[in-house]
Amino acid sequence: MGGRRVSRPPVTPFSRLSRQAAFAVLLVAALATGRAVEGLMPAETEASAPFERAGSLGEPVETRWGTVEVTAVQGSTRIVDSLGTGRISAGVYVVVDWTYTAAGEPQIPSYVAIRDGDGRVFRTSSERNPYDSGGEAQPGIPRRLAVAVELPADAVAGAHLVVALPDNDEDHRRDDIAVVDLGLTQDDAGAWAASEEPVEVAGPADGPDAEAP
Amino acid sequence: MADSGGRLRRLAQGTSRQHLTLAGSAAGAAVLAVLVAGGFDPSETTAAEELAPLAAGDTVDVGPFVVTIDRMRVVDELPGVSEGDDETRVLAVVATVEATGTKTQHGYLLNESLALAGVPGVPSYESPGRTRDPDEPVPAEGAYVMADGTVLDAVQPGLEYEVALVWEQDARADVPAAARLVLVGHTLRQSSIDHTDEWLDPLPVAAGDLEVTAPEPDEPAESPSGGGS
Repeated sequence: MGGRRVSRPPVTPFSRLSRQAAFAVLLVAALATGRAVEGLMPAETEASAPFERAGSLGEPVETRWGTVEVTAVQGSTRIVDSLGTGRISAGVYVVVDWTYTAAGEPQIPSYVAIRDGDGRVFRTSSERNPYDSGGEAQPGIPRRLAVAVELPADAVAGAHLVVALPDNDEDHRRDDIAVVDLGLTQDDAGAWAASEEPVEVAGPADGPDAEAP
Repeated sequence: MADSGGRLRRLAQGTSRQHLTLAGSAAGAAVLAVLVAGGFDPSETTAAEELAPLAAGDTVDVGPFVVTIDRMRVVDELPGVSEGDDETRVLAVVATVEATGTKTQHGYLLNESLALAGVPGVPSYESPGRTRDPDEPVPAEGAYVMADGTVLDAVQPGLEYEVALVWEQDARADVPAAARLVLVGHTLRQSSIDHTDEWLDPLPVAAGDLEVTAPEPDEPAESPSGGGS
């Protein structure tokens, strides 16, 4: 109704472009700030580290997913698996007999490894480092298991057995893992590195060990 | 006319603005794609520039392993490994390998680290629906520990393994006098998919022609009487 129009500054292509450039700069700055803040946060690996349930030879280790107990440790440069196949290591084979009792539901640890004093990790595999789990164990029924892992002789003293439920070690985050001190010494390493007597790696079996006292 | 000219000018300006927006979006998408793919490394060079010569006796760090190439031969005696049949024969590179890190490395990563290029009859099979470039390097089909003939499916840190890395060759092809071995390197970096550290980005790092030794012909059997000599 006859009102006066407010005059606005003319919109030139240049001012439109500079607004877009400013928006782009702000967007990049926001992304960079987010990245920097993420870097300053407490290390994610520490916050999500697994809970190590420690124990030693002959001692039951309780975890969320069951009980692990190492019953015997042997070693040699040679092993024979339950099918009679022999293997020879340039280092030492450490053979660990252990028992797993599942908690709550049928399950079985897929990850078994030996960790040495320097933090090196030696995992089981299908061929060279046999570990036959026998499939999921029923809760409450002990499963007798054996693993053989080859490693350099200098990794024997102070070695620990590490057992976890998921196969991928990235999936151990915020979960229990059993870490068992195998009680090994330099003397064990020397004797086993010189031994050519094959150690038998037993297959899995359910129930308590009949030979146990 | 003036009005018509004004409309045309506005149309032209609008079109150029649309192009600018489209170009900006395309550039943004390209930057995003590069970031998602793990970033752009300006120092990355092509394989041809960095490929080092390779000969028997050389030791090469391929990332997850240090590999020393010993010799190459047609397999005639390795427990656990087939010596071939009427249709195939087995070529083997004998090497010493050692893992470089502090964790067990999968054997398949070692198989991927050694490849044969341009050997007729290798691989001995055809992949369905795929035409293979005859010069494309073929990774080893397996690695066997020389001491006992078992498959090396896990390379433990701190241990040195003498292994035979094997390829099947179509027996209709001749035994090559020499074969081109390519060592393929990997780089340890964080995966952009799940942010775990993995050996990625396979890239040839060294290549050279190795002499292929054929097996000795069978020695004549001794006579039961001892030959009277």
